[in-house]
Amino acid sequence: MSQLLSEFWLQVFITFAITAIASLSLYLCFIGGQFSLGHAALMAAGAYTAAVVSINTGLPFEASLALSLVAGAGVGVVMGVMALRLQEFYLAIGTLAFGAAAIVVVINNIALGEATGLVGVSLSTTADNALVLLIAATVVVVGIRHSRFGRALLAMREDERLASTIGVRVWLLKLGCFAVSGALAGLAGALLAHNLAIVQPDSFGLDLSLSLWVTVIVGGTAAVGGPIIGSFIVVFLTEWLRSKIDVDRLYIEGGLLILIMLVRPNGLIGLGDLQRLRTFFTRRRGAPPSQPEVTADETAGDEAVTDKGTLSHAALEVGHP
Amino acid sequence: MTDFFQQLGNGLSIGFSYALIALGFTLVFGTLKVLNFAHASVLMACAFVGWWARTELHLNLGVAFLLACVFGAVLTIGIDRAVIRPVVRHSFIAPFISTLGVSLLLVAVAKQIWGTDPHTFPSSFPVGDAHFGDVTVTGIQIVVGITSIVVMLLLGLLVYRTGLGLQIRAAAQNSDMARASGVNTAVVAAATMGLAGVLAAIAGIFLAISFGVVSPFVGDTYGLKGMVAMIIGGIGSLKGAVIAGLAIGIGEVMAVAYVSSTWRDAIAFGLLIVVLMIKPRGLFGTEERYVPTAV
Repeated sequence: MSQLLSEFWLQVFITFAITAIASLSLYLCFIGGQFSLGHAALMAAGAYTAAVVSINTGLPFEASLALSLVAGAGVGVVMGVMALRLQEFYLAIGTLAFGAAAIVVVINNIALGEATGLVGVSLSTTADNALVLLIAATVVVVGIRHSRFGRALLAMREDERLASTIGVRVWLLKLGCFAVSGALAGLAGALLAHNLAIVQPDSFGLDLSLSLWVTVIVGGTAAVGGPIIGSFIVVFLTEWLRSKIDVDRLYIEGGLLILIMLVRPNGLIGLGDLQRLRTFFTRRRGAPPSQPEVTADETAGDEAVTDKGTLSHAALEVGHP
Repeated sequence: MTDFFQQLGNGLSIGFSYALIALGFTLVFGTLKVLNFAHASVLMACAFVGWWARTELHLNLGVAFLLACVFGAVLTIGIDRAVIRPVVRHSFIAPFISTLGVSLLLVAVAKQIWGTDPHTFPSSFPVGDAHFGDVTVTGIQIVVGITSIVVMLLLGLLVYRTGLGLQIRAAAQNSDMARASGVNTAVVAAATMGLAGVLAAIAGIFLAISFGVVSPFVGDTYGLKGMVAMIIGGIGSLKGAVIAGLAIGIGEVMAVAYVSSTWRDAIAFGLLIVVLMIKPRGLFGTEERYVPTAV
């Protein structure tokens, strides 16, 4: 890719890929109805693991990424324990506190460089390997979403009690959701560390967790493409606008958020769009748009950000492997 | 022991500001079921308005204070009208994101007008320090403490002893039912947002005179801690907001005095995690009833 893009846009692309992987990780939690505002801590777990591995041992980039996946998953499970007790808004605030407390722990840890952080991580992240990992992460999340695990997550989001009555082990599912999500976030964190060469506690504050929410919500939660499109818009659009007009990025981000929420409160890709697209194509093929076409995945997808809706088919589908 | 009481006084004075912020959050969230993420930036903006009135217009502190309160109320009602009402029916996340956008914009505007450096808030203060044995309570702490208590009592009277308060509580309990019984929910919404704006302004001015500085980022730390205090106290509970705010303030000052300043931020968040794991709806929050939805 280095032939296609200039130095500046290559860096923007890497930022986009890292943001997109982290957003996919958060999206996975959203599928299960687990609203986390602590994902920055999961990214920090990956970033610090990568930094320690890269600086203190001679292990290659791949090993550093693999260990970051494990670290992210581990911290994810610990954070997931909160989900066993808290739901929805309270879970979001609980994980926010978890993330903030985790950073305080890092700041007080000499091995992790305290408030100054760690310097000298190998500069191994390139646009190419970031792209490959983004594609891999997308494939994993699409796979999960259409698997039994993914359908169980949807069912859990729709109605936890009902899901448990039809054989979904909710506690295990929640921990699993946070483990996989944590692994992806850890990967994103490791890529970030290997891109910037330094890791600092300040980079993993609430701002980062919030910006992931922004990319996921802006893109919409109806399809896996949502968080990726959201990341694309937030990263590329702000950089592009900034290269055109010299203005504080807060204006662009703030304006964008308000605009999108006012115009499309369910994000850019909503459930309605998917259904319209589907009816459009089925009509083209001459078949009338039949009722059963709208199955669990679509019905559940769009309502991700709305309050508890009625029971969808998602819950009923889980029972069948 | 002297040192302990000295720290207790300092903690209370910061705790009052946290409590006022938490009251603003809890009033809005409890009544309108909306998390106004811009509350903290309103606080910052009001602190700047107060600073501007003091230094540029050379008004006295009382007038600057009132000006900031009016500004806070108008700004918060404006935010409600512009970005909360239009999206609130979609989900609890939509107003959260749109007010987050407002909060970014307010910080951007403040940075543009006043720059990122902290500005010194005029420190000349009419009330002198008081001494109790070896414990010194500054004039600022006395005024902040007394005003906070008066404001909290007035708020309590308003919510629990007036017709408007009754309407607010009715709307908090069941908005649709309140409207059906003749409560003008638009007026209730405006009143609640206005009150929250005034509370943000008071907290903003108190923080500015307590620390002697205002900066565009003052809302970030204190606003977040105020939100944490709301959750610890239980959403919608005025009593809980005050108790949790004071507890965080005292806890932080004690942590700095007896442990290390680097652990300061762990107090609020650690306390939140512990409280939520034991009581998932906060100290005084009511357990929401499980209402089965129609299939």
